[in-house]
Amino acid sequence: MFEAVLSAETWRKCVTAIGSLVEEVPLKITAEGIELRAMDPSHVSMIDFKMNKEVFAEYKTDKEAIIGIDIEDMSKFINRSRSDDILVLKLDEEKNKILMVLKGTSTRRFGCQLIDVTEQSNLKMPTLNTTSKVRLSSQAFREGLKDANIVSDHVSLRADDAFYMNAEGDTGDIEVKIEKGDPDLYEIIVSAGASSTFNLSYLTDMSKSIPGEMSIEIGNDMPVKIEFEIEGASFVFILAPRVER
Amino acid sequence: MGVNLGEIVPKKKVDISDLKGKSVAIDAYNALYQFLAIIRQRDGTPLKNSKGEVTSHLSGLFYRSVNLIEQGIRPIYVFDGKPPEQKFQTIEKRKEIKEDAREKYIDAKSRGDFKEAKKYSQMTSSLKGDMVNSSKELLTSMGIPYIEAPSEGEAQAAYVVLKGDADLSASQDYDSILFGAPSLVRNLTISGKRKIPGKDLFVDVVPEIIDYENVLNYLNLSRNQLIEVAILIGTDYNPGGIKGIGPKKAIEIVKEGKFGEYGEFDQIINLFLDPTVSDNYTISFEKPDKDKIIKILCDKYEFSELRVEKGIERIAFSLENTLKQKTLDKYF
Repeated sequence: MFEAVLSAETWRKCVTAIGSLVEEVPLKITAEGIELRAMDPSHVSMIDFKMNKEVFAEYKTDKEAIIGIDIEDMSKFINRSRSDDILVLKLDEEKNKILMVLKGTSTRRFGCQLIDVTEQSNLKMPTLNTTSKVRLSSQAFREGLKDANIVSDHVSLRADDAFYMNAEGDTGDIEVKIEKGDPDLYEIIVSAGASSTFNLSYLTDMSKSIPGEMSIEIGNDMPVKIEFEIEGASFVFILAPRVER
Repeated sequence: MGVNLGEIVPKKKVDISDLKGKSVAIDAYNALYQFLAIIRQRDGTPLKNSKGEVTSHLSGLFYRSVNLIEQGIRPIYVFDGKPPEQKFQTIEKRKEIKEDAREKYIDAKSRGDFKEAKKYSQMTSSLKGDMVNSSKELLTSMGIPYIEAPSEGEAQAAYVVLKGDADLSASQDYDSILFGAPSLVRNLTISGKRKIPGKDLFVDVVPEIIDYENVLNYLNLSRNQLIEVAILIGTDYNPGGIKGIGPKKAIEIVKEGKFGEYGEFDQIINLFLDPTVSDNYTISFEKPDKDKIIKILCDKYEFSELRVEKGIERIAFSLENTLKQKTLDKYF
């Protein structure tokens, strides 16, 4: 038995964020809340998502379970919700479905077929040797990515005296500098200068669903770790770097 | 050729997209033979330029590599060196088969029986020194790495994977498992629609992965025992094996510990357990050299310049995008 109640809008935002990286995920239901950890099929990026039971209006479960969800399918359903709908999530073990009941001016019930994801269910977190951490506005980060995209399809994230985003292409080069004192930079901790290069389309997809504030951890030729929250749910995105020339 | 383990080892069919981001050490001779056998005209004649030089192998090598790279797969070709002495019997046998097929091919062609002619012509494929050289030259111009094995290409490919320099080895032969390759992919260079030789039937050939640990667990054998089983069935080093013994019987014999009753095979076992391999290689992908590729494929071998240029564009694009991307695997 699993049943949880929350705002449909919160769930829609979370599902969109998860869907920016992965399609098929093992969702773990525990007494403490729900969580999932998954890599995309090409093993370039991964996500770690946690939503504690406190985030839900109601939360009940009588045992731990791991259910396989096709995020694309779930998005299609939840994207039909209206912004003030209340969502009831229910597990229908008999029919092997997760039910999403949307309560608003009418009651609509979507049954989302569960899938088999046994292969992914025991993923550890990678060990990353990062040396810098930057907290900044996600809007500033998205703007920087758009700037970089003018000249290239990849971008270097660099932390030194400030946080830099650099891109270089045949038509020119671009540098975005966000430093202490800038309203978009909340914190910068640099134990050693760091620089790694990343694919822009991955970063752009990841950044789309980040509201407000985010933190970025970088190292030298290391995956980047991006952390943020969506209405109480915590997200970690990790992206492997490109091969440095 | 190779050992006939097909019917007893567990295989997992995969989609080529599942191999995205992986580097694959490909048994080059094996792949080139496949191209020579498959890429032919309707009457069975291989593709040739106006001077009569065979180009089937280059066509396969070029377009197949373009496809693999486009799928985000890094191909590393491993060429055979000097075969071990124990293989000479197999090599002689292959020559005989080819001679015989060549006669049948000529006969069928003169009778105008194209179907028969194609069937036999596919068995006559022989890889000549200049074909190997032109293949290597093409790979270099494409920026694709290749490795010269001191002896067996498959053994070297398995070694490269064991060292962690590639993720999988690729060959049609099952011998790679005997060399200890952790993960072998079959049908990589020939996947797609394929005609069944001698029949008007087409099948979808998809890549399949044979996982070494999985094979041993499934058969409940150690690696040494698996090698013993292979020897009883017959390998390239003892063609035919022991007369009248098939895979099932062989497993029975080995599990009962009666392998020793069938002869003394220490030398062959050692060829599998401790093959001659080399650390002398580097793997790096470079930008394709467009002018050089065109010089080889279009000027010398008369390929369509338009198609070749498209292929080059596809590799250049993928190199920039897919191949330059690391995965998270090594950070766990």
